[in-house]
Amino acid sequence: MVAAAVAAAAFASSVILLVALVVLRVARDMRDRRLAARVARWRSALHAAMESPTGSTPPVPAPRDLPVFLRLSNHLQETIRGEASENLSAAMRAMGILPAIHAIVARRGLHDRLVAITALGHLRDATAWGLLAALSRDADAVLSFASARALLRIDAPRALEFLAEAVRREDWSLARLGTALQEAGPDVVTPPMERLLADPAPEGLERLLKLARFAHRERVAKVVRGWLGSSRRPLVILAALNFVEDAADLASVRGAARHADWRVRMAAARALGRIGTQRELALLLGLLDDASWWVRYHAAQSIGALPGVSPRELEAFRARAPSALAAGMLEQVMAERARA
Amino acid sequence: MARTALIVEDDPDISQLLRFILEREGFQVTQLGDGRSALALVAQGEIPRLVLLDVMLPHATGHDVLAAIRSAPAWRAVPVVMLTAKSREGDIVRALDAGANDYIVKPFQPAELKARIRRLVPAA
Repeated sequence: MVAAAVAAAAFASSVILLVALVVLRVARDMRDRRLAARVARWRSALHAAMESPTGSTPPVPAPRDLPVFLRLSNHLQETIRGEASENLSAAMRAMGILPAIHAIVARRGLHDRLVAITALGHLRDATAWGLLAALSRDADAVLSFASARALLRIDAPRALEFLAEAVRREDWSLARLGTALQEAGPDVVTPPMERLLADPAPEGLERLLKLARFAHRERVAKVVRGWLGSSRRPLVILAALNFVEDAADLASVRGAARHADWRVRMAAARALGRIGTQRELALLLGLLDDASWWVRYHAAQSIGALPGVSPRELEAFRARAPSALAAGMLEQVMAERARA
Repeated sequence: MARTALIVEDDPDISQLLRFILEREGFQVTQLGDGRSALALVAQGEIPRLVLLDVMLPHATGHDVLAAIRSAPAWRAVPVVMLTAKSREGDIVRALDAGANDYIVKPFQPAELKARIRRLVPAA
């Protein structure tokens, strides 16, 4: 009797549980379908706004839907550029959506805040400058970088006044920072980069030099090449060598080819290939016996790149090479050139 | 002959955006989200007037699909516009060498895409 009651109760519980699961599943599917329908409407409205900002704009979505709407608009902004992007921003601002986005930045969880911060950047909301500037100094690397990126989109020259701070933030991905600077463009990046590089010992020099490629090369080179004759720091000499394009620097480059640091010798070998003539052959042939594989490799590449050095001459150098190391490296470079 | 276009793009938001642009230009659009389905369509599907083809696709790349289009006699003359990310501009040379008619780098200007499409498939 008791066993039958227990079995009946267990059966009833299972049925109730099953029904609850089905109800929950159906409710979730209905919610997903309703959201998908809203997303489809928003998408159409955003596409139309992209073509004409003066057309009808959709109402601001309900607060619970706003992050989904902003993710959609952020993605669209990152897919398009030019007039369409400006039209979309104008149309969204005309919706009166900015206060609702500010509210998300102030209150919600990290993910929604990131979406909202990114949207403020795309909408070039100058009123958010103070809020985003404060957040760009937050200890959270993701939040602070997203805020800095938004500042760059709002007013790149003003945001880059803080380039030194950005370089010091070692928790910010250099690759992402580079992408942001690339988006800003070399005209905007070059002036603050020149100012920072003019400092004889800027903080975060290594990171700064890696970002220097997003500025105009010739203007960075003008500053950095000056370091060749004035600095004893290997990293600084190495950076200067990477910017050498002028035969006027040959004497300094020859000196760097005998530096104690192999990275400097390697950069010097590469620079000789760019600016040298056959007068540098003896020096480069000597570097083929260097202890570092990288120095030997770049010396061999540079020998092949010197004006007037033909494949036949390269073969003659290989045949006369004073060591197996030198001959092997020339052989590798000859094989690479034959394959190219 | 109907102005039909095939979009092969794995990002549904970008695919919908391309559909919007093409429909505004009067095309009837078919969307596919991976390279394998595109290869199957090239093998036995209806031939479109234009193909917009992303380079980075699941299962088979845009380069694979382009090669299939250019080696299928019925598809050989179909104009193909390749879509590539700004960070992968090296793909452009490879695609043009392999027979792509034009390319668009993402992020792109919709007006520029429309102009390129009009050049390749003039309105009747």
